[in-house]
Amino acid sequence: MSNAQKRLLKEFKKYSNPNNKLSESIISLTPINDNNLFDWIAIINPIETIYKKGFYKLSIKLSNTYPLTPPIIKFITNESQIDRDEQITYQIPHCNIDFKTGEICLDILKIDNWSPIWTLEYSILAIIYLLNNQEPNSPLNIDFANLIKLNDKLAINSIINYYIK
Amino acid sequence: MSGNDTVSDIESNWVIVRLLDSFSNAIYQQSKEDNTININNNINNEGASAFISYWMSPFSMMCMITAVIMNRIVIFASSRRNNRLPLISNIILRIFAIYLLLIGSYEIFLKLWNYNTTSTTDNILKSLHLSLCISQIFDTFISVASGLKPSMETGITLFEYSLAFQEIEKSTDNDNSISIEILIIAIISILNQLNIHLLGLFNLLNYKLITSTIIGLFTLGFYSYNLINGSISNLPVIIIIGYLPHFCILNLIILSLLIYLTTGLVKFSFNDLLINNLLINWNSINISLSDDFYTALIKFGEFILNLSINQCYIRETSNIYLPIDNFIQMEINNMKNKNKNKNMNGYNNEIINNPELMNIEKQNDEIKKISVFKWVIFRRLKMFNNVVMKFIKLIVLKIISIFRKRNNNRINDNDDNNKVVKYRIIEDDNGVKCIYLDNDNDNNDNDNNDNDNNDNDKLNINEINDEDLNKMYSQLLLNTELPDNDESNDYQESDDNEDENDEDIPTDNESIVSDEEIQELFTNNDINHILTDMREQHIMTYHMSHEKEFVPISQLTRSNFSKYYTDDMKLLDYLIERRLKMVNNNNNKETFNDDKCKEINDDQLGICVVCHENSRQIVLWPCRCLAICESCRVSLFIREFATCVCCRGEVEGFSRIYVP
Repeated sequence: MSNAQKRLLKEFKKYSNPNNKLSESIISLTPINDNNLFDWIAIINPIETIYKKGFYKLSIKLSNTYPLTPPIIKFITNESQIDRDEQITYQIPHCNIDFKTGEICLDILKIDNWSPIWTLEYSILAIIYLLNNQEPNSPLNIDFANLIKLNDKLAINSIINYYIK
Repeated sequence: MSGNDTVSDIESNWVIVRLLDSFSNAIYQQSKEDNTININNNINNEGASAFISYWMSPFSMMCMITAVIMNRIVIFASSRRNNRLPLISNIILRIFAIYLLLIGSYEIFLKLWNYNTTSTTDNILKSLHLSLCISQIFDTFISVASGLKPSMETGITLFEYSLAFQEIEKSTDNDNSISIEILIIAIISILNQLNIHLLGLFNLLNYKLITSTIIGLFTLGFYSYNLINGSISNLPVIIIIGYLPHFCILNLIILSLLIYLTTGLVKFSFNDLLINNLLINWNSINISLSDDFYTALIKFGEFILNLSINQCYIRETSNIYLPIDNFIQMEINNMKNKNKNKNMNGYNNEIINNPELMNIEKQNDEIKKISVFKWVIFRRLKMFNNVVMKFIKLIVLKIISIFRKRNNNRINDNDDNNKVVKYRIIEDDNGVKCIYLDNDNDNNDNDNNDNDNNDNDKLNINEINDEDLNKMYSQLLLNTELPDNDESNDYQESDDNEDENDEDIPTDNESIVSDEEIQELFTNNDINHILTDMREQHIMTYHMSHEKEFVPISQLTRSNFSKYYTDDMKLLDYLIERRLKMVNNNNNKETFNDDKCKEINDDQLGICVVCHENSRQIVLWPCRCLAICESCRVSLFIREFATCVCCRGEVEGFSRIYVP
């Protein structure tokens, strides 16, 4: 059992324990199947952000060097029709998130700024933090970044809510 | 010889004594003549004449001769080995020295007894100084001959006494009277010498601090009385200057003790105050009972100053950070501070001890290296200089902090403390029990809010009331339940363990099995038997090892053993004791298997934040984060991490620690 597996197992135990509550914004945080610990799915409902009405799905892919290298976290944007969950919103307009691929631009998820003490839970929390603190200066979604720069709150909220079912 | 006797009956029978007598007479005459010539011709100014007359005075001669004799004694003694003065000659020499001291000071006492009656004062000081010199020579001889450090100089050295007496002699040339203060000073000097000899007589020199403290306190009390009374000018300048540092330090100590007391009274508890720490860690002051009063005084003063300058820093460095959970806050704060310098990887640079402690040790070594026979004045001046510098630093720091407070209203009073000490470990009888945040949660939240606001430069905290603050805070962190996390800090570990117990995971089973296997190998009684007589074992090994050497059979004494029984061994024994206790505890609760596992894990500081498996072993310098284990340190080094994983500070080195 490699170090990464040990650590992921510990985290898995922690998240699956009913006594140990995750943050309210995180609905679930589990591996896709029990045989593979390197592929996780998280469902978030970022209450107290402007995205509070939506439920979003994140895919987390881990390497064998996990605590020393960051996980690769993406918003799931193109789920196939069969697996599609009606509750989940698959489009997220955010200036640091690629609208088509769901890629996230967050410095602490890059290898230079990653710290091994971060767990999956805190990585997700950091992404939720990013949702409310958009950085229009390094955008992946240029159109939305312009709205943020103009600070047009009505437009921003309307676009977000337009995609939420 | 008989012819000489008839010439004068004052001179004694021995040629040498007569020679010395005439020699000293010549010196005396010379000094007087020198004076008069200088004054008459006005060639030199007063200072120069005083200087020359001092060198011509009998006091300086005595002083120099004493110095030469003592120097020779020490040098001869250093060429011999295994020297031990027989007890009987020790006693005889001591008694002789005491006798000489009493003779030398007899006239002083007489003078003090009937002060008002006028009598000749010519030889009082000379005989006093002579007896002081002889007594010091005796003391040096005895202690060197029995392989100890000479225990001379207390407060004022012989040299200073000679200067002082010469000054008195000069000033009393005209009116021929000695003031009562000078008599008391003389008596104090006699008392100091008597003290040493009496203690040496009864072999109690190790408790010198007690008696010399009594004498020293009396001296300083007398000094301050004179200072208040205004009669300080009656004392010689040298004495005034000589006692001034000690006087200042004593006042400083009293002042700070008063401050501690008043704060204690106001807060109605001494638990939080640093003085409490001081009482617990009394050993760290580095004062032993065999020190003399003035050295101890300076050490203590320096210690107190240190305490007040670095509020959180005592030599034990009690504040190792133990970040557990809410590092997302730190992380978010630190995200903006990008690291620019990546010079050397601190994860591979092992530092044996706390760098600050090492500095102190270096200083201590330097002090020890300075030979005892160099001038004590010099050393003391150095120490005093140190104290003064620290005092100035303290005052400047306080003033700066006052200014800062005035200028910057936004900084809370608690801000400094909060930044420095965030966590504290409470130690119980059972060991490290729980770890708690030093501040209230609310406090912490406000601080973070402060930081965020400062960063954004958009919000002024004074304009927002508390409720808004809380709202803002929760908004900033997007309701990630951080307060909840904070509160659960204390219980995090136990929760974890309960999980482990609830679910049957292979790793846990393995560990339990291995524990049991170990217990099969060693029964509890076996361990008890081996471990309880640890000290006796040490005593035996010490005894055995010393018989092998060809040292004349030395008796096994407690003091010898305590020298051999070093701190490291004590630590080792302590660790073993702790383990033993834990084993016992577990055995008592063996029926409840779950409780047992919990018990073991409760005592730990927490697990490594990287692998979440091993216990924490590595302290990083200079940030003092105790968060990772050895294997994770190695992998971090291989991955070329340059910053601390917890606080993102630069890592200069690490130390391994082992928590029992």
